Amino acid sequence: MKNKDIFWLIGIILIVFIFNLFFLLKTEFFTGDSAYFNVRYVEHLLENKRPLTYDELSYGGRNVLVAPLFYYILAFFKLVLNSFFIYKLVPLLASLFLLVVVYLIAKEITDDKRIIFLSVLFTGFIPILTEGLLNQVSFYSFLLPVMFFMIYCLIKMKKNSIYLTVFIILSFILPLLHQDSLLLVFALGFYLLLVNLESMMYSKSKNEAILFFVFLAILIEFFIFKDAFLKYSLNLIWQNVPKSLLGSYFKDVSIFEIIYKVGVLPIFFGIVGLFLGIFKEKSESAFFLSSLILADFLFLWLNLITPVFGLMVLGIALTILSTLGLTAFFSYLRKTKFHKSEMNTNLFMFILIIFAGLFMVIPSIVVANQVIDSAPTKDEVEVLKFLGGTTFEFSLIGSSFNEGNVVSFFTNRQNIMDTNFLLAPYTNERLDDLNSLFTTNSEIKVKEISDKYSIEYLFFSDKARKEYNIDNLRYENGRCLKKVKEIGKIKAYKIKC
Amino acid sequence: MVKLKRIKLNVKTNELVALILVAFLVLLSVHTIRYFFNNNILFGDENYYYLRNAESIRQDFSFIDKVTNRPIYDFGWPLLLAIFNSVLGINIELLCRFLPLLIGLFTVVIFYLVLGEFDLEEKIKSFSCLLLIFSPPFIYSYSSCNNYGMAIFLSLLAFYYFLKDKIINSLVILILLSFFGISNIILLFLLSVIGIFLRYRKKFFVSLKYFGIVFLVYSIFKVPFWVKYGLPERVIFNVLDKEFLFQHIFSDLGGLTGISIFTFLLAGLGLVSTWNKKSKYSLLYVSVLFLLILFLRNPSISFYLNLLLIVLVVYGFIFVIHTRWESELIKKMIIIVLIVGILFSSFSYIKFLYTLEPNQKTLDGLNVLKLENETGVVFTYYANGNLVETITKKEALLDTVFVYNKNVNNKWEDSNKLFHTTDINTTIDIINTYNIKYIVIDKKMREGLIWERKDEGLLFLLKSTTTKFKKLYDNNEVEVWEIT
Repeated sequence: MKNKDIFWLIGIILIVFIFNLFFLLKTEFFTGDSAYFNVRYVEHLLENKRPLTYDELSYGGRNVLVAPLFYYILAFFKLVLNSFFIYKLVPLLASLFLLVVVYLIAKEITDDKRIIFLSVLFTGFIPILTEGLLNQVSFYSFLLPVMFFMIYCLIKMKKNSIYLTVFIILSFILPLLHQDSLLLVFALGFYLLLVNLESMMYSKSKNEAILFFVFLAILIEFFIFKDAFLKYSLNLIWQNVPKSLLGSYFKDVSIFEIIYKVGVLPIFFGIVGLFLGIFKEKSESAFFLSSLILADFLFLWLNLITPVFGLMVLGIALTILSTLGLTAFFSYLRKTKFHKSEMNTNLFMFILIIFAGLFMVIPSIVVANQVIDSAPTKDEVEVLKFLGGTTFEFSLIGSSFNEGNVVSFFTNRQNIMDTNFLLAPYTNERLDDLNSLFTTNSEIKVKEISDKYSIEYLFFSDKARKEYNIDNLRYENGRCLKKVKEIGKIKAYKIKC
Repeated sequence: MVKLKRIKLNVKTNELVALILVAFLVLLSVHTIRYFFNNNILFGDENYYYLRNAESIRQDFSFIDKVTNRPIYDFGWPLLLAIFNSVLGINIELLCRFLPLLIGLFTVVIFYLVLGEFDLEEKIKSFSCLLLIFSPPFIYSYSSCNNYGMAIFLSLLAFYYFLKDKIINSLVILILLSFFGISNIILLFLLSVIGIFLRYRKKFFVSLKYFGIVFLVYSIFKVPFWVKYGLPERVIFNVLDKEFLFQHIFSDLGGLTGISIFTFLLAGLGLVSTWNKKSKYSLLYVSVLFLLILFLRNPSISFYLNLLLIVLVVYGFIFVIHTRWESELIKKMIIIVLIVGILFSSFSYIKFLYTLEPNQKTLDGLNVLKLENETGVVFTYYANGNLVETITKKEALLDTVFVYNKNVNNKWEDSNKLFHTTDINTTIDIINTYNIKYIVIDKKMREGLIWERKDEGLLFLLKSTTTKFKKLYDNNEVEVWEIT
């Protein structure tokens, strides 16, 4: 890598870093319920020196089963730096490594530096990446770079090369990060199928490495999740997500939203690149990435992964493939009358950057604002801390399931339900009961549900208001509830009936 | 076994002794762990069926189940237990633990001898036996009281004699085998038909003759049954719920008689590696495919399927070891991963067996029911039926033995209806039709096996219709209800 390249790459990484940091600093809290579960897990790990296998607060007490590596990495940094900010910084830094990986893969596809850096820039501002990674203490910040770096290793792999060793090491790391790594298992399976169908010559060592990864990933996932497999059988792949939620994964996602979130430019040039790579150039990188897209679609179709993760993988893969599309586009441009000097090509490049700004950076800013706005507000936290300070240690606080871990984090009290569904008891029933609790008119129903779970307090936030599409609890003024705290629209009630 | 001495054995004693020792330790581990961590309670439902019926045969040589009043149709295994009990004076519960273990050790020996007939290297023979020993179906067959273990042993013995051209011995063994379930004979007959069709067409009539003799002898023994009780009702339902199909197939997913996922993966490799000589291995492929299809309908086929898959697994391993790999490192690591995978499957299966119901809490609940004087049928999930019958001495509506269970198809249909309906009139109708007096619900039933919600179907009725149902006992593991 030349110094100039390093300069450009670091420049883009810095821009993306500052962009993300700007938004991260806008709130001291995290976005999303699972972020708070992750933080609670790491804190437990540090405090008790052992993983969290039984969570006393979640669902009123339940077993926990997770792939542990992500938590150990965060715990290590927390131990060394002893700052709460590492929960924001470390995932951000890990996700920036993705830009390096995209740079490396793009370099294998084209020699045109401008196109390579353009795709790195695209990656930094894919709106769905902002939605999925920003401020969420998400394991995807590690999973995605490792997954794509493994693909890079496979592209570069030759007999006994350093890439083989790195691939073997990463084969151990990836399944320990999260079970979604099985996506790569299927993607590589599709790759072998595709190259065989196309009768392409491929290196035997790649074949061997893929076989090794497939067996190892299956073994590790079985090892980690054996208890869950025994409990749910193959239904484990849906991770015990309530059926109504599973069914609504794509309910609110339209094709325009997908285009908006993945980015117009990666989709357009990516699809062109995909077809050129497979049918014309028979590029190995294109085969790897298209196999990944194929597996991604399969997993999305079967609801095996969340739409956010699926679209993140799609976005990155298409962005890398867009280097092929852009290369073809510029080489075509050079053959037209338009190309009188390199200046014109640069002009086009400039127009593309403006387009990227319009169709990727601006949506990213919008999405980033939405993400930051979704974090708990100071009022919410204050109400929760009040509940934490005034209730008994074993009190159970009802809230929207999307805030279960948030409630448990700030109050150190039990919740009815949160977003960590695996091994959680009766998720379908609890979700229905929570819906009833927030939307019913009947105080009898409230009593029935609160008795069933021994709910003593109810936390009613703006998010619950939006989620259940209500302004206030319909039985707010009845005999069942007593308001114990109210700040703005955020309320906490004691259930009396 | 005396007869074996007349046959030239192709055996390396040290290796065989080592294999027997490993098998002994693996099988003993199930009992040892359960002894220390689960009060030495027999696991699963089948154990209790044989325990009850062996006792029945021993008492008055009666082939009638004392609790259900149904004839003991496949009486081979309970009879064997009763004979051992009478001759050696060992209690039947202890026999239920150690007789299968002993037969398991003999099975390893026979499997080793059978492999010896195929000119395999010593290492391959030993390795195949190790794969068999560590396979979940083997562990299940020989650590609990069931027909399958003995059936596999006798099938292998019959095959061994057949390979040695000791046809009469083979025939006698097959006749004996028929008393451990005629389905074994039918299965072997169908497998031999496949063999004849694909390779040994000239032996068609010979095979037909021998199996004809077996069926004839079997029929002679069964005629009194058929005269007295008529032919058993044809079972038209499939016990394998589609939702739990994968669970039944794979032991790693909680299938009691399932096969390890790594066995399937390695068998896949074996298939790939032998594909170039597909005409040579066609008999193996077709047999595996045939058993696989049957396995989807009948979990007990796994014991036979397992044997054939092990052959493919061995080829898979040979493929991994003998193929020239570009990276020696990857080759070594793949071998390690595969071995760890197989061992992991076995150990997690042993752990699964140790946690398997019933536990002390289940027995406590059933003992409460045993003390109830009212006569009537107990309603529970069919797979708990034999346990309930043996402990409480009360008949369950359904158990795992469907032969001669009157109106078994209606009972199955009504059971499902009773589990899921919230209509009290339908519930009362079914209860009255079968004279159901008690209901037993365990944790597994509540947590996904039957219901996914706490207020679903019968659970809702039990909670809301307090005048009709009275809770007799509840310890979180098992609930006993009385119908008033």
